[in-house]
Amino acid sequence: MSEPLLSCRDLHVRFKTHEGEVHAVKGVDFEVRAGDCLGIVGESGSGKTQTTMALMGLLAGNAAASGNVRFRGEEILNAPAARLNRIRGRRMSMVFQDPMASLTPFMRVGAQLCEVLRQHFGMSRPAAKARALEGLEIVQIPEPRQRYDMYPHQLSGGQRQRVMIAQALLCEPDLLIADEPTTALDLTIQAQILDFLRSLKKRTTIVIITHDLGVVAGLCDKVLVMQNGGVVERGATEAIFNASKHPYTQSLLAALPRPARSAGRPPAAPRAGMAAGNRALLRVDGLKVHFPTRAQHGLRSRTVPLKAVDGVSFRIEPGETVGIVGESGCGKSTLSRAVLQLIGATGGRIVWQGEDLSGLSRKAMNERRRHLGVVFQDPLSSLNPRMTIGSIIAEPLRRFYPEMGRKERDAAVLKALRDVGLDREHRGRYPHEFSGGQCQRASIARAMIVKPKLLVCDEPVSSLDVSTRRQIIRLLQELGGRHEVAIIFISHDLSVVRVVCDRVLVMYLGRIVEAADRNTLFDSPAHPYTQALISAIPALELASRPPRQRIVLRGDPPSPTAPPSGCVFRTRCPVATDLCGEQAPPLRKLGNGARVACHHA
Amino acid sequence: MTPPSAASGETAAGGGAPDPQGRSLWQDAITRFRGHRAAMASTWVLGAIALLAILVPEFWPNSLDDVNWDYLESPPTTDNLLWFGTDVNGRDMFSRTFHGARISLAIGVLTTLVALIIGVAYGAIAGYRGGLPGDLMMRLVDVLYSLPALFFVIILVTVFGNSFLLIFLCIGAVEWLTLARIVRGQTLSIKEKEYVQSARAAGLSTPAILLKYIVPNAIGPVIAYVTLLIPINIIVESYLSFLGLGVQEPYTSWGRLISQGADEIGNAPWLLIIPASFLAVTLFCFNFIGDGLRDALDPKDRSR
Ligand SMILES: Nc1ncnc2c1ncn2[C@@H]1O[C@H](COP(=O)(O)OP(=O)(O)OP(=O)(O)O)[C@@H](O)[C@H]1O
Ligand code: SF4
Ligand SMILES: [Mg+2]
Repeated sequence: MSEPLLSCRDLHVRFKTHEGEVHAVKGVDFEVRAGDCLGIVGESGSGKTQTTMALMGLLAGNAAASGNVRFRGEEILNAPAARLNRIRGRRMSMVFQDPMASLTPFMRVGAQLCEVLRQHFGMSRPAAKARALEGLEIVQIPEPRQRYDMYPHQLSGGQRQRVMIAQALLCEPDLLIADEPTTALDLTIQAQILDFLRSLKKRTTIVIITHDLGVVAGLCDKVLVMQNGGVVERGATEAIFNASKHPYTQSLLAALPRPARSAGRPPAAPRAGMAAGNRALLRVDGLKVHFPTRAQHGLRSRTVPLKAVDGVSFRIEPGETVGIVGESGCGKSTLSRAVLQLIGATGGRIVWQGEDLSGLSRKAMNERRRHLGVVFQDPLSSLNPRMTIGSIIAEPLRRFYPEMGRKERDAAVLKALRDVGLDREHRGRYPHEFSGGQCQRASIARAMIVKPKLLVCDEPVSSLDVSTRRQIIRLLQELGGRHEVAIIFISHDLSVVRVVCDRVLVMYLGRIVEAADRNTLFDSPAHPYTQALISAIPALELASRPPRQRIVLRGDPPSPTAPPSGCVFRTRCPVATDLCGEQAPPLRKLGNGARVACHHA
Repeated sequence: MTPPSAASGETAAGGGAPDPQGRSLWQDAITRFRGHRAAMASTWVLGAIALLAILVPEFWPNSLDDVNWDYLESPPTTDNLLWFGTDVNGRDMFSRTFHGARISLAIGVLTTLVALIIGVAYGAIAGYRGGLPGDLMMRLVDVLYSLPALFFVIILVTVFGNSFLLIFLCIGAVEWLTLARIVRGQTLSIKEKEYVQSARAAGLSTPAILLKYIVPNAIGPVIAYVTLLIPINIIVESYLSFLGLGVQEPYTSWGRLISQGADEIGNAPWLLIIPASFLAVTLFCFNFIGDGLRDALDPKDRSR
């Protein structure tokens, strides 16, 4: 057999830290042959990124790598920078997770692309420009000429990722390494990029690093599963997915949504209080949140409203879990913050237990907050770094039960810690001493300690690992059930929403486009946008099987400062007609109980 | 600035062994500060200077304005306890140096404290309130900024009379401007953090959020600036006294001693070298203490 393109033997990476040596990669072996598409899968901390950093010679200063890495037979581990630079970028390119962090913010996209070409090939300016434009076309950026002159921040996340890939492909490398290329992206954009990577397989050899087996499933031929710095399983994708031998792989697989199987939880039994006419816990009527933003019109700048939330109505019954889904920027967080009165509404009403919240004084509102808990997305930044976990959790008690004795409060904190699965020793620690999952547990403990009636969770698990994610979801479900709290669960991840929620609201560009029971929504989505979202869930599907009918949406969501006329979704809708441009579809009820805003549903 | 976050301070109420959670930010900070060698050494040195500044003027046999006719402009000698020599008028430099230390340290620390309190409060409120009121507050700062600071102090001192208390009130009242800007900038970014949202969602009042969430998290750059401000204030005082607006003869300060010493640099270098070395040592000490404080107040810094 021919020589492998890249071979890696007994690779070790060790970091020197204040706490001693950290052995991050413990003897990894693998090889990549030309034309392969290899997926390296593992949770954060499993060493997958450090492995590739070692390959590329990009390890941090306190790291030491040992072993053998051969690229086309040439030893490149710990090779001098001069030799590496001949290979790096030119024969072997890398795409990083965060496209914003790896593009230079103050350089135009085109200039960055050209620089690579001029550096590696010494191309002339016009030649480089032509080549760069071609590169942008290959990655299917809409209007490449226009994007060529833009700065990275003017592009959307998906476009930036495409630029990164274009940059990596410019020198026609033999090997492309992509580290979590879709993790920072929205579901529909992820579907676009994966689609594109699939088409790229013909051109080059690819190594994809990801925590999401769903990404690997439809794309890679071979998989390497890593845990704690070592390889626990390897093989053809098909074999691993069908008959994995290692329990860790099995647990990762179990966490994946399966397209055929219906929801993971029986539909919520209709509760006594849910009969119509009964007072809802929360009622939102025509809520609008507009942010004034400056827009340039020729020479003058004008204030135009950015309609982050534009006429949203829904109600929440006691004890019910309602999911809000939609792509980034569709106004989910804004909606939740407006419901919590953390930002002022431009219009509409928020009625909490029969009382209009917008009329309340700040003081009166603060009193109502006892019943309104909140858990945010970023576990670390939602805890005050200068307070210990114990005082963070105790704070709502001090606020709402100032008369409570110290002993009593302490007992309550200990109980809360136990409830969320933290140890009592943990309360003297600071947030940064915890993992993301533990921080999120602390956030939940803080929110739940005063027994709220409504818990708003804004992407509570989005930044967590698959297995941690499952634990936190289970915790939320359990606490929600035990204390009868209603939960608003915001997420862009439909597979999570499907497990957790009784009812789902789908948002697009500040509006609700579909609202339905969980099962109705997932079994028979009525709105074209919902259909696209559901089909974009990277599911346990193999590339070799005939692909299921995938709806890949074109382009990005339009700007909320200038939403399209008529139906806001019409610019990306595969079934739009003329009517859609003229009239905004109202939210109307279908036979199966779902409410849908579409003329043709 | 933060009240010790006490929930954790309530040790082991549930009974059992004293677990390690009796820590508040400040208790923790003290432990960490103790571990910072340079800061601890500086604290001792500064403490020694401060102690001498208190004791020497009270108990030293040579007072600050006794003229030693036999020792006009004498270099340091052991005769008559003239360890630091004498100045042109034959006055004991040892006594004068520590008299000066008293005034310089008091001015340095107190003016900075005034600036710190006004600046942090103003900046945090302006930043947290934001919007038009916040902007107006900062415009006012800009306007005050455009006045030359020293000029402003001079006006204040001439209008309100020349008293010791007034000097540091005046200097402090000018120097809070930069602090207000620093703190406002920090506040603007901190208030967008989710933990502040979470504090609001937990129904905390604005003062509580400012005290427990904003100020402790904004403190790093503030401390860095404050350690610079103390020596600056010591020097500002010397300008003022040079203009006849600071402390007056026979009282003295390091700033005055240095400017007088500079005039005699050719014939009596010790007149410059001695007070200048004290000022430099003090300056270094404040810097190290500042470093130590900043690290100590940051729970993330566990490296030392
Ligand atoms: N303070 C603000 N000023 C101006 N525009 C804002 C402000 N906050 C949010 N927006 C805009 O409002 C829109 C909705 O934002 P929001 O954060 O609610 O989206 P989201 O659905 O939560 O997205 P994500 O999934 O990324 O969290 C976005 O276009 C955003 O840029
Ligand atoms: S109304 Fe028209 S554009 Fe809007 S979703 Fe329905 S079909 Fe598509
Ligand atoms: Mg959000």
